[in-house]
Amino acid sequence: MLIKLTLLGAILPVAASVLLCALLGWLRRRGATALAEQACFTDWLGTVPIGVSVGITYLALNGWAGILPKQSWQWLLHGLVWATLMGATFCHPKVSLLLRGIIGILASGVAAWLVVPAWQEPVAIWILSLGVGVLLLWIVLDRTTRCGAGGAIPAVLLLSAVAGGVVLERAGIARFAQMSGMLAAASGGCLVGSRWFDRRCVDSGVVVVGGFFLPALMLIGHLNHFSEVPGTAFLLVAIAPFFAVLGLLGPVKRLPSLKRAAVQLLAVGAPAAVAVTLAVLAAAAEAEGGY
Amino acid sequence: MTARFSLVVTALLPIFAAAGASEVLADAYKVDKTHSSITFRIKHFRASYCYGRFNQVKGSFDFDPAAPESMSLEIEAKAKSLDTNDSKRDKHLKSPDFFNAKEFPKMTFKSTSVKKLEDKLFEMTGDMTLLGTTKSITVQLEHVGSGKGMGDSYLTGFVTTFKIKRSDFGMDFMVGKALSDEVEVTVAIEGARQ
Repeated sequence: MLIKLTLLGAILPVAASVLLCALLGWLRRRGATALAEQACFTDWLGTVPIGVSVGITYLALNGWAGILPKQSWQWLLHGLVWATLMGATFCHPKVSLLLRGIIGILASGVAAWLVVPAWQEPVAIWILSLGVGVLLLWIVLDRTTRCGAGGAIPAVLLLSAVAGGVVLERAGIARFAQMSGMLAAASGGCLVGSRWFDRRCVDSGVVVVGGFFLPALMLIGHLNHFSEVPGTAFLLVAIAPFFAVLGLLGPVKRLPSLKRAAVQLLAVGAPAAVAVTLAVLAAAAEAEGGY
Repeated sequence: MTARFSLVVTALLPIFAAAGASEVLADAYKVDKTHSSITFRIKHFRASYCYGRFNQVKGSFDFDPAAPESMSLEIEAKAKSLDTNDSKRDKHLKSPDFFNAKEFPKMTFKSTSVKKLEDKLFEMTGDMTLLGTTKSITVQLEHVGSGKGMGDSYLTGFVTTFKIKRSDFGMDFMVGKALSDEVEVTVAIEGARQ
């Protein structure tokens, strides 16, 4: 069982995202000879590697039953599909600012409405919080990819999702921890695979899909757990990717790309590390028996 | 002819009324949560059974020993009252991995028909709802006994043990070697006549 879970939860998303990046890169070179044609092909497909790899891993782990949700958390898949489709337009470099704004509000609002459990009062506040949070994350992180400071974005998501996995596991929701793990693995795959496709485009896709999936997962994890893990731990993981905005600040922006990425990862890693520490301490305090 | 028919009908009326009254005469009972329990066991790594129970059970039933087929039963357990003697495991079991207790706080059973098999043994069919999924199940219900309790109370009790596949209700996490799909449930209820 452990081997199956490792294969499905970790290796599948990495392999899928790397292969998708390579396949899209090959199709682009094969089908479009002119640079303008290549760019046009690429611009619409940024969300495909991460969105599809997370989606197929989700189905491999949770089965087809989740396609027709009976439990509120199963709407995550639908939110993911929605974010992947709408994100393609949101992160398209030639879409006007006004249209991106409208698409961003619509996409994040509907995605939040899909995943926030209807039984959780006050439901409107939760939808609003998640929708606004996701939109801000998209705007801030997408800005980093557009001005050349987004090279570390898949690594930022990887780091945040690993922290999310630990927090969710300590909170006693193994299924959600697994999902956070698969987001981390898919982000890692995109980090490697983007060299065969288009880095900026793949980074934009990671921003939209990861920027929705991680905060949504942390929110529904927070609303559903029974452990002593504090809400702060969930919140810190959800907002950790925001700190990659440091890459836009003057002195950091002027650093060589590797150093800039290191600064961004440190900035994101700090709240993530605090979240993990809070979760581990809370779980240790309530540890009992050998379970 | 018509007059004779009317006479026969008039003569038979009390008999029909008595037959109908057997349903009306069924006593109403309220499930005594202190003396009732819902326990379950599940196979762990194909090596042993792990036991658990729900500490908050409530319900009611109507029962007439002379006409057991008219029996009806409604019972519910609170998912949050799950107890496996390990609080950390209980919290995991209440999470969306298993019982998803915040979204589905109750598990219910409502009988739809009862058939007498032998003295004090019935076959009860009903709708069981778990994780928002309702399935019809059939169980063998044993009437343990009836008698006077404390004070003026009059008690009746039943017990049943049956098996379900948790995946049929959408509880599909860790189905396999670590935790079996099949769960054996024992419901023991004691009702006080109202």
